Formats: sequence, structure tokens, C-alpha cells
Amino acid sequence: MKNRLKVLRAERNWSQQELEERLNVSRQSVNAIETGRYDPSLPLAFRIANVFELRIEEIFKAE
Amino acid sequence: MESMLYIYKNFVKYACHMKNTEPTPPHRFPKLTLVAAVSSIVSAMGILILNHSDAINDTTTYILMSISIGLMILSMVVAWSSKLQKCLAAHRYLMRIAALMSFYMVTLLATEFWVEDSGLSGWPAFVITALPGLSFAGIFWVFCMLILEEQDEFIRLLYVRQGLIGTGIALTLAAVWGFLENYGLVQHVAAFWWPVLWCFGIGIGALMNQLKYGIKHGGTT
Repeated sequence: MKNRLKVLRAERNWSQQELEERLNVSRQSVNAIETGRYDPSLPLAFRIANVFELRIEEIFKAE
Repeated sequence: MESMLYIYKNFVKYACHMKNTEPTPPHRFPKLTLVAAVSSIVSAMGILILNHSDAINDTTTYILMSISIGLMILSMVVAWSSKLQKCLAAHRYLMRIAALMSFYMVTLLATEFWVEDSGLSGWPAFVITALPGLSFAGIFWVFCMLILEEQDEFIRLLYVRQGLIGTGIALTLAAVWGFLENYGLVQHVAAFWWPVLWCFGIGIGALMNQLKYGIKHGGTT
């Protein structure tokens, strides 16, 4: 699964810590998702979509 | 004894440091507390070995064991005051492990005193001797609770992976050693070492998580 998390975060000028706080997850989680080492669960994917005010498919793409 | 004093001094420094700093960030273990807790167990075992080899007498043994248990209780107090409010699962894990290690040491001491030295027999001896082993049931329960209570799904995945690696290592080595022992190729190893090996396996699991995900638990990448 590919994602645009890093790009979207950069567009909003958010640090990893800021995103971590908005999502209420650990920095490790944000980093693992951004680097594609971990695919989030559906509930977390929805939370990410809500934070960026986008649809899930606009953030995540199947490889 | 020097190592215990060193740990105690570090504890004091750590406790003072905690009072003057902001709450610990999420997913950051007070590592020194864990190190001290494990060190006190190792010290207690060392003291028992020294006693068995007649290097120290029973009175000295009990005094040193009391210091060791005291350090364990101190670690619990420090952990309690460390304000890991944002990392409840890890905080609870630490507290439970510290309590279990204390239980383990007290029951081990009781077994040494009543069964080994005082010659207690029958069902009371059976019950007392079983108690140190039963603390391992608690260790597994604590690890399960850590997984269940952790709110962060990625960290939870790391814990599960760690547990599976630890279980795989311990059970595989137990099976291999069992066969080797059965055919007289190696010496007998007491069964209580296998759950101890599981605990080491958990540590190896953490290392493998770090290698695979490049993540040091408790730190940032």
C-alpha cells in the first residue's frame, strides 16, 4: 500500500509530532506509516482521512 | 554490593530528575527502573549462589536479600511517581512486572529458608516450592495485558511480534534440548530455565523489531 502522508503533512507544514498529536498515536506509528513499513487499520485510516479532510483513497493507494 | 549501591545512587538521581521535568512523553519507559528491577533479581540469585558455595553465611544472605527486595520496592515507588500518564499500558506493565519480581524474590527466599534450610516437608513444602514458578504465570498475564491495554495499534503489533519471537525461541530450544538430553548428548537442564529463556527471547524480539522497523522502542526515529 502506498500513501501520501508525508507529502500531505509537508503541504500543511506539520511536523511528525503535530500529526502524532492530531491522530493520538505514537511517533513510531506515524513514521512507520509514512515510510510504508506499516499499513494502518481501517479505523486509523479513517482518522488519518479526517485529520487531512480527505477521502481514504486520496491518501492511500493499492500498489 | 557496589553494583547495588551504584543502582541506588542512579535511582536517587533519576527520582530527582523526574521531579524537575515535564511528564514523560508517550511510550518512553523509565529504563533505569527496569534495569534496577532486573539487576535486583540477578543480585538475589548471585547472593543465593554465594550462600550455597558457603562464601557467605545465612544471616548475611538474608540481609543482602532484604536489600535486594528493598531495591525492588524502590523501583516500584520510582515507577509510580514517574507520571507516565500518557502511556498507561507501559506504566501498568512496569508496575506489574515490578510487583511480580518482588513476589518471585520473596517466594524464592521463603523456599530457600523453609524448604532448603529448615527441612519443611509435605504439602506446605510443595505449595511454597511451587510459588516462585507460579510467578511466571503472572509474567505471561502481564504481557497479555500489555498487548490488550496498548492503545497504539502499531506498538501493539510490535509487542505481539516480540512475544511470538520470544515464544518461538524458548519452545524451539526446549524441544531441541529435550531431544539432545533424551539421547544423552547434553546434561539435564532444570525446566524452570525455559520461561527464563522466554524472557530473554522477548529481549531478542525487541532487537529484531528494531532491526526490521528501525525503531528503538521508547525513542524516536
